[in-house]
Amino acid sequence: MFLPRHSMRISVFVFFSFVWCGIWLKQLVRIWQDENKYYVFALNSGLNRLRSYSAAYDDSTRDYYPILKYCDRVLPSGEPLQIILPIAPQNKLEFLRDKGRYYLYPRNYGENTLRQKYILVYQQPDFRAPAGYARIKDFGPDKYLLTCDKEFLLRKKGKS
Amino acid sequence: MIIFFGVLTAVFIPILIGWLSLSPFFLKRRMFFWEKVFVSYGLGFGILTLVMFYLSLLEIDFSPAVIVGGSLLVPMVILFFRSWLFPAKANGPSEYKPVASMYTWIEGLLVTFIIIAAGNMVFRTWTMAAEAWDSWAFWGFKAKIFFVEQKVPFAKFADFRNVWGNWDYPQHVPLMGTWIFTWLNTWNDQCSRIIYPLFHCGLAAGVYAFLRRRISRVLSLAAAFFILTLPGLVWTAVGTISEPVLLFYYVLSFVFLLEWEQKEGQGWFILSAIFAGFAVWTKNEGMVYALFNGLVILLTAKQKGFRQIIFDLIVYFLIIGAIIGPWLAQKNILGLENVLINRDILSRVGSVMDMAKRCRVGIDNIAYRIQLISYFNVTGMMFLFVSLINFSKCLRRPYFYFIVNVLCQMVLILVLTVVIPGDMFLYDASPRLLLTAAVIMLIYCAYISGTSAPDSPS
Repeated sequence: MFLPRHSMRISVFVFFSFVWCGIWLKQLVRIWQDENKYYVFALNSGLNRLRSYSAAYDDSTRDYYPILKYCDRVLPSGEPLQIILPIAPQNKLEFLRDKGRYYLYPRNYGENTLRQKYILVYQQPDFRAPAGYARIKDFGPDKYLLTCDKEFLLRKKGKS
Repeated sequence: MIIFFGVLTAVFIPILIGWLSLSPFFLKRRMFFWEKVFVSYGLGFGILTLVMFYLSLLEIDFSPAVIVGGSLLVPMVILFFRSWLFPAKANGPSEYKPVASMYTWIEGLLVTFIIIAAGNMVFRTWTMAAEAWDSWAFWGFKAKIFFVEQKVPFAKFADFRNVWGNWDYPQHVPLMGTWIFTWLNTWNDQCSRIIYPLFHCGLAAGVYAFLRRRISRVLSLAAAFFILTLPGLVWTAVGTISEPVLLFYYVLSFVFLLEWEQKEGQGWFILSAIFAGFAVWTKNEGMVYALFNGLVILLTAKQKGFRQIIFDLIVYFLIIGAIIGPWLAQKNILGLENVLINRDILSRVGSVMDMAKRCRVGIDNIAYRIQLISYFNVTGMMFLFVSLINFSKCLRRPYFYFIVNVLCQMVLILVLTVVIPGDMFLYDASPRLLLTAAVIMLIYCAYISGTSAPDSPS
C-alpha cells in the first residue's frame, strides 16, 4: 500500500490531508476565477502600467502615478516637491501621501506641510495658490503643478 | 529578458556565498540537494545584508563588487579557520544516505501538487503590483531609500522618524531588496518581489528534509505541501510581507536545534544559532523566538548535563549577539523605539484585573483565529486530533519540544495582547504571529504520525 503504516495515528493524518487538499483546490480555483482578468492585465502590462494600477486609490486616481512620474521627470534634480492632497477621507489621504513618498523619494518624505518651490495640487479644489506661485502644468481642473522658481518659469517661457 | 537574467543572477549570488560558507559545516553530504540550495540562499542573503549594514556603518557606498567582495570574505575566513572551528568529529555521524526509489502514485501526486503550489505562488507574487501596505510602505520604501542613498543613511533616520514610524525594525528585509536594485542598477520594485516566495519554498524544503531524515517520504511530502499551501503564509508571501523570511530562519533554526539534540552534530548547533540570529535580524519578534530556542537547549540539560548546557547556551547567544549586536547598538545610539512596545506603553499596563480581562480576550482571539480555514486551513483541528490520538506519546522527546514551542507561541501572543493597548494587535499582528505556531503544529503532526517507536521519555 502507499502508506507506510496503517494505524489510527496515520488514518487521522491521512483524513486531514484529504480535507486539506480539497480546501486548497477549492481556494486555488476560486482565486484564479476571481483574479484571472488581473493576471491577463499584468502579463500585458509594463512596469509603469502596473505602478499606475497600484498607486490608484480608486478610479478617480488612476492618473496619480503618471502625474508623479511627470513631476519627477521635469523638476530639477533633487528639488523637493510638496503634494497637496484631499484631506478626507483619511484613508485616501494616507494612501496617496504614502504612495507619493514611495514613488518620489528623495523629492518627498511624506512631510507635506513645509512650503517648497514646487507644489503638486492633486484633487484639492479649495487650495489657493500662495503669492508668487504660477501654474506650470495642468493635469485637470483640480490637478496642477505650481512653482515660484523664476528661472524654471523663464526656461519654460523660452522653450514655448 | 535581460532583467529576468539579472534577477536570476541576483538570486544566484547569495546562494553561491551561502554554499561556500556552508561547506565547512560538514553538513552538505547530509543535506538534501534542495535543502542545501535553500539553506545557502538564506545564509547567503544574511551574510550579504550584514555586509551591506557594515558598509553603511563605514560610510562606504553600495556597489555590486564591494558587496560581493565583502561577502566572500566570510566563507574565506571560515575556510581558513575550518579545522579549528569545526573539527571533523564535531558533526556527528553521517547517518543519512538517500536511497533512490520509485515514487508511488500518491507521492507523485503530492510532488505535482507541490510544483503547482510553488509555481502558482511565484507567478502570483511576480505579477501582483505592490498592494499590501507593509510591503511597499515599510520594506519596499526602505529598500528604495537605501538604493537611492547607496547606503543605510543613519544620519537621516531622525528626519524619517518625524514623518513615519517603524525605523526600529531590523534592516535585513529592505537590504535584500536593495541588493536586487543595486545588482540590476535600477529601481525595479517588481523584481525584488521574487525574494519572498523563495523563502517560503525554502521553508517547505527545509521542513521536508528534516522530516525525511526521520519519517516516510509520503508524509514528509505531505508536510511540505501543507506548509507551501498554508493560506495565511501564502498570502504574506504573495503580498511580499516579511513573514516567510522570518519563519524560514526561525523554523529552520528550531529544527536544526532538534537535529543537534538528536545527533550531537555541532554543525547543526552553530547553523541553528546563525539562523536564529538572522531571524532577529529580520524582525523584532526574532528576539523572543531566540529565547524559545534557548529554552529548548535548557530542556536538553538532563541528557547532556547541566554544565555542558550552560556552555552551549553561552555559545548560542554569543553567535546571535555577534550577528545582531551591532544593529542593536546602532539602534540604541539613534534612539529608535518600537511604536507598539516601548517604555511608555509598558508603564501604562493596567491593573491585574485589566490584564486578566485582556488575557481572556487574547484566548478568545487565538481560539477564533486558529480555526479560520481561510487563513490556517485545518491546522488547528489537525493539531488537536493528532495530539489527542497520540496523547501518551506527545509529551515525550522530541515531540515534547514542539508542544513547548506551540505553548510558548501562545503565551507570547497573550502577553502582547495584554501589553499592547487597543485592538490593532488583535486584528493585524496576532494572525501573523499565529502562523509560526501553525507551521510548528504542522511539522509536529506529520512527525508524530509518521513515527511509531517512542523515543526516550522526558
